[in-house]
Amino acid sequence: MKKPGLLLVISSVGILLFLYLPLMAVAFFSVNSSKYGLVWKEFSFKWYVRMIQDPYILNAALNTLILAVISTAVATTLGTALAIGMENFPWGKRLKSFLDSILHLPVITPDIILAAALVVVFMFLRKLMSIFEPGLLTMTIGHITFQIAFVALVVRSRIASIGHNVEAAARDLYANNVYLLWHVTLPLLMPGIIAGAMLAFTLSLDDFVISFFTSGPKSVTLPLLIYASVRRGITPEIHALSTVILLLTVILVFTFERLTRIQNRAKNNPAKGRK
Amino acid sequence: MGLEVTDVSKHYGDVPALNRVSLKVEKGEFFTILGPSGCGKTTLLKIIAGLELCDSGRISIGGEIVTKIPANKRNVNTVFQNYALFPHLSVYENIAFGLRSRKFNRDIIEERVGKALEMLQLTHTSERYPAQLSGGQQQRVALARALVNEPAILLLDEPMSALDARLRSQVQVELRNLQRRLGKTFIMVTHDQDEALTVSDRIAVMNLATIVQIGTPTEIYERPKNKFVANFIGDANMFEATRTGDSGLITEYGTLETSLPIPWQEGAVVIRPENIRLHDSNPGFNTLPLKVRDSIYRGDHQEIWFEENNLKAKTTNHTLYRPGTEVWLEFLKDALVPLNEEE
Repeated sequence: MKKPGLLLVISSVGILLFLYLPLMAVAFFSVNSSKYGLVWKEFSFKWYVRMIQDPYILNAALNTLILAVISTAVATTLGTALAIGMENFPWGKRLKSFLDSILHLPVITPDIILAAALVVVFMFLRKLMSIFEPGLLTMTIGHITFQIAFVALVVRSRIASIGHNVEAAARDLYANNVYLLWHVTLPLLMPGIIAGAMLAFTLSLDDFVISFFTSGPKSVTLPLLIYASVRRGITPEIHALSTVILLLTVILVFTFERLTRIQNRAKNNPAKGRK
Repeated sequence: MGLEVTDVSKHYGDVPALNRVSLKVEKGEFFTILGPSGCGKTTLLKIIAGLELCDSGRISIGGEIVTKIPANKRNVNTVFQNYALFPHLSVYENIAFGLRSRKFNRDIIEERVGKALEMLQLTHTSERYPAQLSGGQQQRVALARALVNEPAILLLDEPMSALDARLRSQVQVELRNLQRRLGKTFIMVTHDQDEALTVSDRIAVMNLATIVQIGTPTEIYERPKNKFVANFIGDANMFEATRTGDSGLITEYGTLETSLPIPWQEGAVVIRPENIRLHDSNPGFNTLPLKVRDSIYRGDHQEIWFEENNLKAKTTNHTLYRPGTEVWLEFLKDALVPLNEEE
């Protein structure tokens, strides 16, 4: 193999450092027993211990988890239904391509715009019903609004890779709609649905902007807590917390990647129907 | 009565896919719908299966009108192009699908799937998944999955297209034997004329959303009705002619005679290359001397092209026909086919 040039090596290492040094620094200081400054004292997990004893952090973690689980469950169900519905869309090509493009809209809209829009909507809804006071419910709804699009897009690509022939075969073999959905469509879509759900979960877990605009005094999540703490000065607990969140996200992203790869392999499956 | 299709039309937007198509298929017949891609043959098959509904016309299966009945309630099963096996189900589960979806009792399912596996020599693969099977095995699973339901009619959509050429001719014969053994009505769609001639009792040739000719393989090959059929199936020499007397044809090759009825004053005639005999000297009747332009050796026969007119002959002679040689061509009288007027 050809030896890579010096310039290439330097620039690659430089870019990697640029990307990962800040993250590594956070992880580094999370296991440093010194409380202040950038001085290394000794290796210690004490900030992690203190972190899991902090009621504010625990409460925020619980909120984050509840928010992520519920919003992901709802968004995955709705997003999958949307993807299946759009694939079997019976009302003309024009309307379908229009819906296709507005499906991408939540993905490319800046979060801040969506957040501001949600504030207005909830303000209006609050006048009708008091349950729309800022809190976990409004945050959940906020998260669902942007998660649905991501789930639907991932599931749709899976639908496209399966093709229509398998569905026709099931109908030909006496399957009614329920049997078809339960025994053919959903099992075949499952890798896509799981991948979509994990993507949605990750997005909810580290969302700040939408949460910030829709949260109430009692519904602090981890990103909001970190933001608030950082303004008061960073503590090593926050480093520990950030490291934990980072690790969780990495695990989720890796699993998502793997599932997508399985999905791509299924695409090359010779048994798959094609038209 | 197996199947009766009456005046069926179907449009996709403004594009006609089927234009007033009618045909009858007898019970126990191997019937093939043959045509180039885009001629509407697959649409016709889907309409028979109930996977699509026609705009107008009538479909009846076994004497019962099923025009508006959806696929999952028709006693018809399909072997799909590329098979469309369920990739997440084992061979056994694939075959059992149509019985399970109708909530058959477990013992019946086991017995019938077992029989189907055996009939198509798949017993040893029953636990495998479609991706682990060869093309030929996948095709047999698709056949078993359809036949296990004991349909009144089995539909086959280009069943050989995913097999390699060598396997294909063997599978064609197997398919034909299977159909004979079961005595079931098979309706196959294909664009491959060899395949159609090999397996079918009767063939319907389709072009541009209509049926052009229906007949036995012999009728289709030896008595093509028009230019399309003559060109689409086998090789053909085609030329213009004017009628003279009862059986005479004035052509660019002189006056020829045919023993077949001539339905026009001016029209086209066709002759298959193997029905042009080659002689060294004039045999005296329906003949013409021409110079060889080119000859191609094909092992069991050779193809010879003649100068100027692009006339082509096939012969099993082992004589070497060098370019420039003059040869006497004899047009066999009962193989010189006057075509019906083109529409």
